Amino acid sequence: MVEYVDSSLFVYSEAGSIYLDDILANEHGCSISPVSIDELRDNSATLLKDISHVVVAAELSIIKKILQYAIEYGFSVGILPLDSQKALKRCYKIPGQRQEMISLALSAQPSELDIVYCNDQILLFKGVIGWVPLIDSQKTTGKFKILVDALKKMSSLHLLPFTISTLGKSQNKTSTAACGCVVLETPELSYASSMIGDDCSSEDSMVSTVVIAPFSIVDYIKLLWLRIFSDPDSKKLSPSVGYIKSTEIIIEPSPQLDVVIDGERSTSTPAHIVVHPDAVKVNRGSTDKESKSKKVSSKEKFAVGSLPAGKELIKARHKRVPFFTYASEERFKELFIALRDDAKLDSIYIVLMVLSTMLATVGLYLDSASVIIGAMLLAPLMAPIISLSMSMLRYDQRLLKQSLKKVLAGILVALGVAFSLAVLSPYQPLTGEMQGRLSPSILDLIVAIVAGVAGAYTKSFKEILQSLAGVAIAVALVPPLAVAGIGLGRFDLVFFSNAFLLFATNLIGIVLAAIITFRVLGYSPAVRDKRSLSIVLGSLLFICIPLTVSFWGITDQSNFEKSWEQERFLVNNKYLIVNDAKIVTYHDRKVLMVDLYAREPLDRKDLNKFKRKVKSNFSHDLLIRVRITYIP
Amino acid sequence: MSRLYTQIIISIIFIALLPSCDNEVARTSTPITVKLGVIGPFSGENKHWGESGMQGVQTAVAYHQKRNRGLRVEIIKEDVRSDPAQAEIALAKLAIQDQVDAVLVLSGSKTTLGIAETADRYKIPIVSTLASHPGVTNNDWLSQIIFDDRVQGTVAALFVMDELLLERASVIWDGEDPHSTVLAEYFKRTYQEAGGSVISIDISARQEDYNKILNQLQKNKVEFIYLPMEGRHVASFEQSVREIGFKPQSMVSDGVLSQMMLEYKDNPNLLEGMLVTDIYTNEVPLSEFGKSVSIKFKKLFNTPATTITALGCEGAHVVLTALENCGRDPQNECVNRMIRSGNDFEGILDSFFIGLDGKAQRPVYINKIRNQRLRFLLKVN
Repeated sequence: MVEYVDSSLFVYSEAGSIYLDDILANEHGCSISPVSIDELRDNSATLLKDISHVVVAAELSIIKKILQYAIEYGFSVGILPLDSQKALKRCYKIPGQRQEMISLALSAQPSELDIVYCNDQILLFKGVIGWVPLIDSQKTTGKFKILVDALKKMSSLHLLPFTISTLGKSQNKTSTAACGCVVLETPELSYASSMIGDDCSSEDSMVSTVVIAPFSIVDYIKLLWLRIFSDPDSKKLSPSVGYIKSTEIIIEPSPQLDVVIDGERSTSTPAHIVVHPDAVKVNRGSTDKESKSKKVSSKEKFAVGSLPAGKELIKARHKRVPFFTYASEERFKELFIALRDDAKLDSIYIVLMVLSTMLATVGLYLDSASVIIGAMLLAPLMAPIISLSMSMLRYDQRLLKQSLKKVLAGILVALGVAFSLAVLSPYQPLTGEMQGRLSPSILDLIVAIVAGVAGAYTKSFKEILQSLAGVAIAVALVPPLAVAGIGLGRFDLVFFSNAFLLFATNLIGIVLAAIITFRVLGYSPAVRDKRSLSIVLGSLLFICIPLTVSFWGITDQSNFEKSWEQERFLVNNKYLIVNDAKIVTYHDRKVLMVDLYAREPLDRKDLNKFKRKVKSNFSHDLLIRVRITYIP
Repeated sequence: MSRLYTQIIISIIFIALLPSCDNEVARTSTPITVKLGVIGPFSGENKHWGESGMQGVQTAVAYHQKRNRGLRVEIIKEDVRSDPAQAEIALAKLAIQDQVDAVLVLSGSKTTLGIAETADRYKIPIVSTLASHPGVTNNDWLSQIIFDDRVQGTVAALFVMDELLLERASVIWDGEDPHSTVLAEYFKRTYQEAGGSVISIDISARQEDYNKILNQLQKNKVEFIYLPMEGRHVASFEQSVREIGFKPQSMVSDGVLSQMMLEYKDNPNLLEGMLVTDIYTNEVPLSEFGKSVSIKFKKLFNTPATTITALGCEGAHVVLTALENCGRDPQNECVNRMIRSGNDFEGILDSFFIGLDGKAQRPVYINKIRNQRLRFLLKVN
């Protein structure tokens, strides 16, 4: 049974006068004393003395003034919203029909509500400090509009230093960098509110603040992606967003910024936001939904872990945010611990290197792909190489030294083991598996790059760590080293250098790709050291010289071999079909190995003429070896 | 003392720079004036050959004059239509009256054979661009730059037998055309020796009744037809093929696509899908020489280049190179020796050489005609 007040003052502005006739003729027998806002201003003490209830129909600033009087004089308040005051209707659950509105306004069962002050000004719904891209729009905004707005603003994205303190039960303080923040008192339809699961209420004795700080353009795009494609009610806090909930918050950016309270530029920072719990009694409606929903928590929150901190702030002072995300070591502590462990040289690593190289060498001698794959799986080289990549990206000298030492040790062990086996073995075959590792091409570099990306990626995410074995197989680090060792054992420097070039291609390809991947994933250091860049570029140049030489050689050779697929010869009226042609190097001479189909037997004269034609049409330096298959 | 050092250093630098002077500079200092006789069909039914070949000659002259600014080339054109007797008279005029340094012949085998008989009489270096008949070089002074018909016929037969693996073929040829006769003869001989069976049809005897011929070939389940004939015969044949609907794989000989492009502009796709043996292809990158003359040709003429144009250009290039190499006052013996030296000449696609017997050694390209272009299949070296 709803009870109504016996009498009430009705304060109205010009716009609110539309309610005057209806409220005077209210069906609840309530005696109404209408008073215009100008009269109230002039004579507030007299008019409000001994008043127990006031109904107000006016602009938001006047409603706030009435709420202020309510705190002073202790009367309850009923609100009749103007047509334009949709937020007010939503916030106080005011029904849509005028008679229902008047009934609610005259009800004698008000709720005790908090009042939030920001720099002594009442904040009813929302305050905005700085620039809050993406999160301040309505959650129902169209995706295309969000995208266009976000892209327009992308170039002007920048962070400012912010100091945020809470003075509630638990006192916290953080110095960070952010674009801006949104202070929320009541749940509303913005994306910011839905991100925190509408965890704000005028009855929870708390005020909530959402801080937005995209570290980089990549982070901003991630946020945009979430904004467009994720469910607005998913209550998921984006990595670029911090969330603070307390009874008292101080927000102090540098430089001073305007504070927009409930849509009006009202004050400037530092913003001292304080909650006065149960400060006023206001008639607010309720919905079935509300009664079913759980009560908003009154627990304080200080979730600022994803905001820039420590050394990251130095980077945040830059005028514009960088393209890639950066991070201090603390942010990815577990990963760095794992990478440091991977970079430590121990006996297990040496034993595994010895075993995997032995297996690879035997597999190469046996020409057995499966044995070689076994060696690849056993090989522990990938992990220190990934550590090496991270150390170069962040110029972590300790990690760099450790991982480099471990990689070099692995290389020496592998070369030594393969060398010893080759020297001891009386059997010196040149198997297909060995030959396949004697001519590194640009494709090997591509494999190494893809494997490097995969290696860094799997290392970054624990849940896919098991894929590292596949990466190891793809890039195959130990077999080329074993071939190089065999070359050393046979005292064949060309053999050694070609195989070692393949290993170097793999090594540097992985390192570079892993550096780039780590960078894209946001592991760049907050404070960059030019030396790391020099080392990366130096390595790139180092590998580019042999690879470029090798690449052009291989490309020429490949083009030559491919062109031979369409070559035919007419030698003394004998038609020779080229089935296959390959150029191999033998004792520093280029040898053209040709597979020919011929119908008639070829004699010495025919072969000499064939040789002359090849030499005059292609190259005089070629040695020619022919294998003939006779066709019936 | 220091002056002596300076002089020594300057001398060393001067000597060091001497070898870096390229041939162009050296050639510029040697002015040469040459008289070049050009015999070809500039009127009559094959006038396109002469006109197209002449564009190639002018391109090569422009190329050489750019390389050698002292070079003056006087071209004396003799129109012999397609008449061997007129060709013989033209050669005599060029040799005795005009006293040319060399002669280029832009005619086909039939006309060129008329010149070949009297070539030794005038002792003038002669280069034939289109004639591929083996009889053309039965003398000491006339050289070919195109491959010999025997080679072309043999290559065609062995390609069909060994690559297409077709064992029943027909060769349709023109007994009145020596070029066609040799190609047909060598195709037939080689094909049969390789184990294939050939139905040989001379259209000069059958009065070009292609419908009847095709019906006969269809009955005999012929898988392949070799057509070593001039473009107009091939066009008539192809029209009959379309009427009857019997279309086995067929192959034409060198230069036919060019003839069709020049003479059958209304029906350019008549040869679509046919195989062709040719000097060139449209899909192999040009040599450095080829690139230079291609640019020059585009500057000089606003027409598409054909095989006949390219051969005219290569022929003139061979003659002018030999003339330049023989110095300021070139002797005929020297020029002829240079042409037949066996040394490489730059070609549009590949280099080639002419042996002591006057025959060019160069690859035969096997192409497929698609959209009036020679799509490269194979190169027979």
